[in-house]
Amino acid sequence: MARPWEQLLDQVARERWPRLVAHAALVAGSTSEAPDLVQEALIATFRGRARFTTVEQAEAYVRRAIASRAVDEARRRRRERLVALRAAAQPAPPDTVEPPGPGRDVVRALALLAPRERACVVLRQMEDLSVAETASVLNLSEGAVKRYTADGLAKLAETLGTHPHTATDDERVPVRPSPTPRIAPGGAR
Amino acid sequence: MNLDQMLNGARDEIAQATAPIDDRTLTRVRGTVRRARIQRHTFESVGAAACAGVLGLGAWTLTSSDSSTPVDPATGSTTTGPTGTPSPTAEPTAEPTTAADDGPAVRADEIDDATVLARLSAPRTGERWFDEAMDASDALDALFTPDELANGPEYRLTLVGDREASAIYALSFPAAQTDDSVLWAPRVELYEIDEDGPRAIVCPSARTTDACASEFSSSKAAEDRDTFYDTLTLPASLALGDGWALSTDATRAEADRVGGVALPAADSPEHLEVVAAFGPLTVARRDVVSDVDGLRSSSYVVTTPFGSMIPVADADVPGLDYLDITWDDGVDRSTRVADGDWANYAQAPAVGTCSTAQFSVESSHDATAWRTAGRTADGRDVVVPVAGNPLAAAVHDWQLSHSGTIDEKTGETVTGLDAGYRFATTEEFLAAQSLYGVQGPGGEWHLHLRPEATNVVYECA
Repeated sequence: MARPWEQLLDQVARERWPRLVAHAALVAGSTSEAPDLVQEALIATFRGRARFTTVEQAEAYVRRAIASRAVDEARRRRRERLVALRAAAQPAPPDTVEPPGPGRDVVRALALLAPRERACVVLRQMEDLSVAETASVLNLSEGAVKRYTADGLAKLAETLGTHPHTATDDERVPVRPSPTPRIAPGGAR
Repeated sequence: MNLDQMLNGARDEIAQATAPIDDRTLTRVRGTVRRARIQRHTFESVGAAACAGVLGLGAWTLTSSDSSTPVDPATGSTTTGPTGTPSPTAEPTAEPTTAADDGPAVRADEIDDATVLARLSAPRTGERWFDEAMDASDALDALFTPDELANGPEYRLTLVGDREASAIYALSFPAAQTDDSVLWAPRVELYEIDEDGPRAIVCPSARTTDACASEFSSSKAAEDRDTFYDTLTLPASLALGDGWALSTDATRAEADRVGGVALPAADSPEHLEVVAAFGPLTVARRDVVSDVDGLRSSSYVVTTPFGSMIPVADADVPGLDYLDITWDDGVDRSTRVADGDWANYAQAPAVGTCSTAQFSVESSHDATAWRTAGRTADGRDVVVPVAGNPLAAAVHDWQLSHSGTIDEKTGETVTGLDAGYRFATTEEFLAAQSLYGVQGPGGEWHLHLRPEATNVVYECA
């Protein structure tokens, strides 16, 4: 008989896979890398001691793991590319061209952002994370989250030709009300 | 359209265009997580023991979070995208099925083949074999000490399945040589690892009368003689069609191959052709390189659902028992001419003594070039070449010309008849009924060579 974590993993993977892949595509700025990113995030989430008991909680963990891994992966690739370019003294190759597909224009526009800008925009704008939560996920200061989010949204609006967001006093970007409280310490395990 | 709408629209479009996760990917993820959890458990156990004597200073190690896992998220779903439709798909080898018989999963001395076959498809024992074995070399330290890993052979450990709370691993070793995977391939050992540690599964069959492994390699694993698998229990008879069947009596008695041996390497010239399936087990012809033109040489193996193969013993293949053939000319040829396994059973004629191929098949069989000359102990017709059959000459020529040994008195290499090959001419070779055929499945003629007509060698090395 499957263990509880295994049942939960199966359920999250089977029920939420398309949504997680879509999230990963936006946060990575690439639809082709998204499935691998989701797999890695599932592994990272479930390999540790479970701090969740429901599919919703587990999915939330996975989404955050996707965001942090997307940033790490983009930085790693950039470092490797720089090293290779220095070694070869060649001009920078173009980034991978996003193939045609659903949401192509938005993914292309997101791909033009810096990894942290992209992650901040997706977590703040689409996942409704607070500035503090986003800062925690991405290991940034709250000020940096505000700056990256604002810069990212401005660039997106320009690229996509949409209306830029109006800055608020505290964060310079509109946020939706926080929909759910954080898990209390010693909560679901 | 504002930015929010565009972002959400893109997310929904991508989600709708994304297929559900496939079973193979999910199996891989599940296996990787399981392995990592086992390692984590081991690490934490060691950490806890080390910290226990330090006035509780180590208590944090058991409660601190894994730094690689994400931070606590908010509870509840915060997404507004389309709900993914669960789409469970069949996972034939990975999901346990309802037992064919709902009784307790216990072993028995004898199990009729109908029951064995039913349980192969619907095991009571709960094992799930992964479609694809996954490298688990990072879990070797659960089976061996650091010193053993540093100084031992190059172990290969793969995660191959699971059962209840246990992960199932297959351990194998590098082959000494690669020219014959059955002759040289080392055994594959099965282990289960759960939170109580590793266990060596030495009696994988549901039959108590089948062999148990006489030894296993891990120094850390406990011997487990209780765990068994319905999906690794061989039927007593493997029917391949037209009333032709392999026995498994001798095969199941091989104590050093209960988990089988490694499959031929990817770059091996050997080739497996599946000829029948029995649940997750298959019978395959293992083709080897033939040394005589126009002949295909093979042996039978049973492949397991975790990627090993169990060679079918010569005693279980109809037609190989040369000593029990009754010849129409009345000559008794049942005398065993030498000690050693090689002298017990016939082999394929298009290979040398050191091959484990059991039969050869002509690219086209000319019935007029053969005549009936006897019967096997189980009543099958035995045919031999008629005089002038060119195949007989080719086989004799190859075996004679590839005979060679070392004269232990002089230390010199001697060949052919000087090496002790018995038949100087093709006529002598034919008169001794050296080459013969017995009909196999599908009416195909399996050709065999009596043991003493195979080429002389000093040793197989």
